[in-house]
Amino acid sequence: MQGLEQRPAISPTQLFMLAFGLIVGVGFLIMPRGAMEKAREDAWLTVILAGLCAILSLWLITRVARMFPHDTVFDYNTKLFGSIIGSLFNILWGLYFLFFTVTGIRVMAEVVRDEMLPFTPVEAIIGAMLLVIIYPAWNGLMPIIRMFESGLPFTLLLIVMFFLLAYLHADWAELRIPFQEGVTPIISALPQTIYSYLGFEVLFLYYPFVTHKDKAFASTSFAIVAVGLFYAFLVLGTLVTLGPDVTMSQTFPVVTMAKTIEVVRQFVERAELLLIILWLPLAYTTHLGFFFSSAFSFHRTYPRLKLRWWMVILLPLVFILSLIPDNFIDMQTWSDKVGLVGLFLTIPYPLIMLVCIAVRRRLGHFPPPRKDGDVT
Amino acid sequence: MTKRRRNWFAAVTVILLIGLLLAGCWDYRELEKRAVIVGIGVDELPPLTEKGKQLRMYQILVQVVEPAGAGGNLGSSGGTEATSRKAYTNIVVTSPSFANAIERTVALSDRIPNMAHLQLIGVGETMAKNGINELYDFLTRLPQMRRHTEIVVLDGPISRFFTTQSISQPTPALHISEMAANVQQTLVMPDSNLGEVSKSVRGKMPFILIKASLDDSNKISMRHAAVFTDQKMVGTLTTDEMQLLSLLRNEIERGLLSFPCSAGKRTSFQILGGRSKLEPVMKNGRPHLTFELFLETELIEYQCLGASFDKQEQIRKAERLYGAELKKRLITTANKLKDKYKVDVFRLTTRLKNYPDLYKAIRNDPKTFIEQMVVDVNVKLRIRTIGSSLETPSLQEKP
Repeated sequence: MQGLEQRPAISPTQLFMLAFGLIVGVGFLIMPRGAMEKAREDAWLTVILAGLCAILSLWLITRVARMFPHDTVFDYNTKLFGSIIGSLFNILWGLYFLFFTVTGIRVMAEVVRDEMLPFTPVEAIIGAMLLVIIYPAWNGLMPIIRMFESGLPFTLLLIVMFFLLAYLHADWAELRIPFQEGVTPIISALPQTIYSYLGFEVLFLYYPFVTHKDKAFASTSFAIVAVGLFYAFLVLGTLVTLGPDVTMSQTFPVVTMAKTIEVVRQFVERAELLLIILWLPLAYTTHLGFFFSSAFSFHRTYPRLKLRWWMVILLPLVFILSLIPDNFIDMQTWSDKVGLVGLFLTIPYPLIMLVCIAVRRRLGHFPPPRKDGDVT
Repeated sequence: MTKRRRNWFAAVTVILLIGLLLAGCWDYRELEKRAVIVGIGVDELPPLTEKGKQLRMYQILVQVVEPAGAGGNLGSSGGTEATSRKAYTNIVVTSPSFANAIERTVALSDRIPNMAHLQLIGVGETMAKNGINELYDFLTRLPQMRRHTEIVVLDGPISRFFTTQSISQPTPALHISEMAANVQQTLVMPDSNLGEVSKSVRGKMPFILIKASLDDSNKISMRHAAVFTDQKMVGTLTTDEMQLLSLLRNEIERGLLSFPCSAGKRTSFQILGGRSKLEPVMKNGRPHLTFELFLETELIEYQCLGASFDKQEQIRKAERLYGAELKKRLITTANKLKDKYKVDVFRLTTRLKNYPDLYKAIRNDPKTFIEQMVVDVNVKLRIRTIGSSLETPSLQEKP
């Protein structure tokens, strides 16, 4: 079995799609609750602020990645931290992507079972999703990216149009002039919100395959901006349709918002089913991207085992792990822990790397910094 | 194994797996095997004493649609003699638990209950007065529950409402639900559904539900609204009060405004649209609220003879006259309601969000806020159309 059949080549547009598809997944169904618990009516500002933090983190990541334009993070982890610590970081990456897939798939299965298939066991839902995931992942990164490219724009357009129907029932009195309670509530809601932006850190893995490296930051930033606008649109939607108090009390506030949609009385009765149909491709792209990234991480750490074998090993592991938590609340504690690791890998970790690079440069282990654009 | 054979083997495996996955839904059930619940009616019975503790006891009526009967004569609750199949079945259960009651319908109807198409929740007046908190918890916990499901307070025995015949709907629950939807749009009644209740309960605000009653000939009428605070019914509003309150709450849809013109005669305006803007200010520690009401109307009836509307001044005069009359009514009603209920029936808690001092005051102590509140109303009534006739005909013939 071969690993990647041919060397991937990711164009700026494809990078945009990859980042967007990975970020927007399961978290946005729950995100308005976390944001409104602290920021209430100003939650949409928290979402925008979290997007800016994500762009800042992306900038750090690209600063690091530009130093090693032909290497993935797994290669320069060992160069920077030595083989033992570097390998430990590599395993951390693999586990992070693995558990991201696990938590995402379980949450997806819970939503589908609650809202759509109440008598279907989560095992069946998770199993079916995993089978669909392994199929495009089998032939490497490019089929995955092409799948993102072909499906995402249309899905996003439909989902935005769908939620515009909820805005028809908006109570604009729920909106408030920003900053009335100061900036503290907005900032204190950041940790719960920033998790929803995780996904762009895959640039650490796929930067060497980006064709126009000078545009990598811009493409991924655009993806984060697009995600931010989409999230702000949803948070604003839950605010004006449900109000902050109802949003905070709902398990999946975005699904509850979909329940306010009534196109023609007694004609489209359960609009949330339509949401689930539109949302599943978004969840699927996230699971697919993270699952592949997990296999890719382990393969790069232990290249003696081929990428496809890693997928074969990880697939049942994801299945078993996703069934361990007793319920959705238990799974959320897992998600929070995965989110914390994600936060570490997106902010402190690139900072540590930059410090390491500076120290090693001073010690003469690395060449002096390149000029802008001189990357390949 | 050769590569070709391996590919063939893989293709067959994939096709078999797809066949397995697409052969049918896991939880597929025939429609006849599902008890599609379109309405539930709940009222409270005397409490049950169990192990020295008192439990609230409920009478729960579940209206299940009969697919075979629904396709027959829609004009009959029980179907016709020819079809002999009822369009619905009412299952009545007594239980302290709603979940238990719904589950017991399985034993009574040999079908699995499905509440995804619930159209009506009828709440008996006794239960409404004792509090709907337990019912609310049950309903909002169900993932399949729609937020547009109508909630109506039923003034009388719930079983009578759920057996009332309709000429247009196959089941009484659908009939009541459709009526509630219509009065909300035409009589300026408040939105009376689960979504609105949920919003008010979570926001710790009072809410208003439509109240249905039965006359002697078993006809349902919806002329009243029930005021709830702390999830308990605390009073009733008449249609006029509710209409005026809706204008103040900025929930303006089509509705009829009627005024006396002369000698007991009436003039009527159809509301075409409008808005109610709030101008709040804190004066000497007391909240002063001015409702700036703008209404666009259509003159649809003028009983006073000989009146002519062929000049703009005459229309302006009518606008001023009836605007002032409406203002008087609105102020009287607002003061009456605030003194009677001492709760925020005006939806101020949501509308004062952009006035931090007032918002904080009403959030912290709504009762004192409402007691101290000074209400003023400014009405701008506009007659946009006078219909096809410029002049009301006179009874006197010309010599």
